[in-house]
Amino acid sequence: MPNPALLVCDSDVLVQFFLANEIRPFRTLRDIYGIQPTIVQEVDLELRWLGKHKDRFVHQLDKALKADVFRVLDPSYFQSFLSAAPVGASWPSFQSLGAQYEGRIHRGEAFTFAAAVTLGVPALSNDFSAIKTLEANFLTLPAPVLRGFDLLALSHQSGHLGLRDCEVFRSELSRQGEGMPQAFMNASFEDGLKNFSPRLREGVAGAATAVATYSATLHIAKI
Amino acid sequence: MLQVVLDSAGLDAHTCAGLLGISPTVFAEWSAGQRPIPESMLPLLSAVFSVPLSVLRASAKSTKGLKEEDVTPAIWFKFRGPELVDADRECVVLIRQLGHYLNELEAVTRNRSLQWKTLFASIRNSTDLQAAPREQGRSAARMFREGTTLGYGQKGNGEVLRGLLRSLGVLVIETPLKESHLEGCSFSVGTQAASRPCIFANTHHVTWFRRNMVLMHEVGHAIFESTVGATLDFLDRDDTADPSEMRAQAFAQECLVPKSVLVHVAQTNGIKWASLSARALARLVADTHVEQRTIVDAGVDAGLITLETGEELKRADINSDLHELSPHAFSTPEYLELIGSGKANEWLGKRTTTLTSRSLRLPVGYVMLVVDAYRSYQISLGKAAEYLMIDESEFAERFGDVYAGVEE
Repeated sequence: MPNPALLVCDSDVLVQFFLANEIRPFRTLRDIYGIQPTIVQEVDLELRWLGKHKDRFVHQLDKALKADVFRVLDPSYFQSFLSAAPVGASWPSFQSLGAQYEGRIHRGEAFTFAAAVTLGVPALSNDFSAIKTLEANFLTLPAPVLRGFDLLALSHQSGHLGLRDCEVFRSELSRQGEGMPQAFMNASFEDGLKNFSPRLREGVAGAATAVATYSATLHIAKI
Repeated sequence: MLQVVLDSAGLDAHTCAGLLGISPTVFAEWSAGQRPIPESMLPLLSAVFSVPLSVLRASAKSTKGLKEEDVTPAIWFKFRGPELVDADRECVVLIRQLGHYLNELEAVTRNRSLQWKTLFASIRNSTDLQAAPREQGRSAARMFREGTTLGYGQKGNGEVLRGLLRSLGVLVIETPLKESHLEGCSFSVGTQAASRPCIFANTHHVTWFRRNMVLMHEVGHAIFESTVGATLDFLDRDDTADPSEMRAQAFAQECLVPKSVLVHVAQTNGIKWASLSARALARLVADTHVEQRTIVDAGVDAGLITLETGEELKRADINSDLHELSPHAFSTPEYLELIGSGKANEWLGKRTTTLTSRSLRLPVGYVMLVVDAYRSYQISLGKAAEYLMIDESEFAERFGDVYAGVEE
């Protein structure tokens, strides 16, 4: 199986990368692995006005969108992936699934997960609460749901981001009180990585664990 | 199209964006038709501004030439009046947003009550609308009491009123609106397919006893004036000659203090109507949960006191007696001291929205519904915070994080 065409990214992960002013892992994903990071319209909207941060990320977002590091999954862009999507996938089915999720989880996550499920591609989200809520209510989750540190770990392991840069990212998140996987909470990036099981690895593309769950490991290959 | 609706409602795009937690730039572009509104946002905007989805979806070209009065929702005709201030309109925007959230929440928790629909319709249909307004109100109140648990007891029901209305499916909002002249109002929230009555009472400088009356007065309006967009009641305005106000007032009085309750409370306390002292009047207020003026009016209507005595009793100073007899007459610090810091901390500061440009005090029942849904894994932390219009970290601080310590 080829690499997935898209990675649908949620705002909580992007906020962390914006806070650390680090978007190289997304460029790596696009340029080296041919996976286009995308955001749904709802995440684009959220990032333009986000709670206590207000419009803090607009400049970074616009810059990344202009450089096509991210693309907004609008109806026409969405349509271009339908030929490779699971049977029955359509814009209305995506909207309907998003609306169904939105009753239980925040709008950004709801439509991020709905887009990933509809198109059969992975999602990127740190929202453990949203994942567990959908799981508890027997709603389909993307397989897998990657975390920000999965992307960081891949960038490091594939030699595109040095240990120092990864540690700067980790310590910046720590300084700003942002959540992160337990392994990195009180350990440097290097030490934390030893106790972290990344869900994104370089290897034979598409080789994944037998059961496609949100915590499955996705193997991707360089293009 | 959105801009036409905002203009017609007297709403400012920048303010609305702040209230809805949307980028003011993006909201302005939506309003001006320069950026398409994502489909996922349409239900919320439709519910908040009371505009059909089809109107929000319409292109600027197709709506060219439409007159303002053709698109202005009925509610905004009422709320753009000269006696209203921006605070009123902003509060309505927030309350309508809350109404939308409540519908969403009830859909996922399968906890929706539509009892108000049948009860209100049955009261309307059984009321002789050609009768005197006050008689209509009294008759409606008797049906309301019979159709709910209010009819079971002969005591004051101020303490159960809010829970009862919520169980019927009515949204009850009590929040301070300092700048406003509104004392109470009623209007519908939710889209047409999922609408419900909302009653609002301004808590700024209004006692709990008075508020009970205001709430039931608004219920009276909600039963009979559901088609007029909204009914508004202002502080210090005497509109007692208006038939619909007479009906709503009679409804509230008869619901809260029918003769049977008055007589029962008086007998229980050994109160003689012929020689009603300030202390006895305070006892009646404390036990019936309605303000002094209403007790006296109800006593006069029931023939228990004369009109002249009634006028004197309305002027009697019962404040110090009432303060001794009822904790509902306490100031907030006094009340908090009474219930103790443990109990006070359970709710103190936990009902106020903080992400919106204007804060709103949410109903206890609504907050409990959100917290329970979160704790039973029906909604996520982010959604629970959105429903309470606060930040996720603030939600976790106020109510705890069920996933704290869980290893991902």
